[in-house]
Amino acid sequence: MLGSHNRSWIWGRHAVLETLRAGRWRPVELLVSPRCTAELGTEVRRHADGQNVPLQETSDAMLSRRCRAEDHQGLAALMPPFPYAPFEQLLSRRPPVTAWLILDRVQDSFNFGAIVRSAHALGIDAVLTGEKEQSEVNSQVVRSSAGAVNFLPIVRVVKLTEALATLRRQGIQTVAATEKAMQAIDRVNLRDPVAVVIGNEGGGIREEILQLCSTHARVPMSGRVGSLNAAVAAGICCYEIVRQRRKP
Amino acid sequence: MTLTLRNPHSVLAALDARPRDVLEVRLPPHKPAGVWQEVADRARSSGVLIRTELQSAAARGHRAEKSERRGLASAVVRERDSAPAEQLWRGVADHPHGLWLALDCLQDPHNIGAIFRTAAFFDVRGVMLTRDRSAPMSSTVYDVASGGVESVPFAVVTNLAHTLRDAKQAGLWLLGSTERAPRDVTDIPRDRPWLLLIGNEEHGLRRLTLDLCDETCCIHPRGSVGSLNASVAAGILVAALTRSSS
Repeated sequence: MLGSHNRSWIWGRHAVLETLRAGRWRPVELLVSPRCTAELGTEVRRHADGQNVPLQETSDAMLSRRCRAEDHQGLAALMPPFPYAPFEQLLSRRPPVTAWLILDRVQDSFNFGAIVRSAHALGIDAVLTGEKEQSEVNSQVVRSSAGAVNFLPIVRVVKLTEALATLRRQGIQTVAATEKAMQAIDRVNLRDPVAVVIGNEGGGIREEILQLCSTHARVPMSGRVGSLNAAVAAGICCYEIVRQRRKP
Repeated sequence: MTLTLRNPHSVLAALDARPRDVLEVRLPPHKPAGVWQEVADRARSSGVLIRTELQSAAARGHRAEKSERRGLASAVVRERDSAPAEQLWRGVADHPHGLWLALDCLQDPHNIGAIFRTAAFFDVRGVMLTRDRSAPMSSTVYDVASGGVESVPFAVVTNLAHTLRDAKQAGLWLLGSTERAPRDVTDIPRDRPWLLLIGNEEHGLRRLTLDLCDETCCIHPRGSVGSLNASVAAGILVAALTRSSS
């Protein structure tokens, strides 16, 4: 059995149900309390049986105590570590990955979740992150991704620089999204296989990562002041890939 | 009403835009780091009261998170006054390709804050918010906006439909964003002043609001595999609408 430090709770109707439906990240244990509706309970029991997950009926108060949240809607799941996708497997995938989104130390779970949600909705193939100073897939990420963590491959590597170098060797264009770039992102050809890098909320992209990128590009600004939220900037970059590839 | 702001960027923007409304800056006893140092310098030169908070008192109730949204330092700032709606589009003749925003019952303060930040970045001329069924302009909105609330004028309106009719009269064109729209945002012509409408996180735009729109648009690919967060969708729309005009 895994140590408790390797486990985390996810709760709420949407987060738990989407995870069960996807069947990729199997809970260690499910808790259901009276606040859960009969219809929802039936679906949850069916998934629990099918995936061989122990399910426990408990009180609303006990469920709150165990997952340490009040807004559980009568449903919580104790999760093992998130099943990140193996990098090598995605490198050799057929059809090949043509759109990567790379996150260099996105620390805020809300941002990480929103970015995964955008990447999934806009047809990005995979998200690649490092380990250091990077938010893990936790219950907040599951929630702010609206369940998208279950559907899009997310890779977590020890050394992001090495992974980036590997992608470059495979002929993938690596684009750093940085405010300091001269070139606007809509002037960069994103139709061919590409990996777009989004940096940390405060510090942006690390120098060593910037140096590994073949292109630097910025989101064109029309105001005089300010910057964009990391999730918004990532969304705009993902959409730019979609926009260019949609055109005949 | 006063707000307690914890993002140094939102405090810095308030100090720049309206230093008299910054009532107090509270700093931990050690030397402030990074942008808070800049806040301290600016506050000192503007004659704003700086109070040193004891670590224990400041730390209570605020677990030090590694996030731009929280910290031990803070500032007490007066709320920015909202403008009368008609003031927002007074300059429409000078900005024939300008962009305005209306948020129809947005409920998450993080979304509203992120939209203000985006609006400042793309030089949106004004933002309208509904008074009812919307998150209020709280300190969370100011902090997430990271200064955006200070540079974009906004109006809080009771009757959005009424205000939208006035906006049309003044020469603005209403563009509703909805997943059901046939046209992608990149196909919207940028030859007129648009007022872009963003709907509630779950339900989108209200029927009454949609009925008033001159045009609707969506973000492709739509619907089939999940949806976008409201502030991300707003960011993509605003970027697309300001891009094609340049």
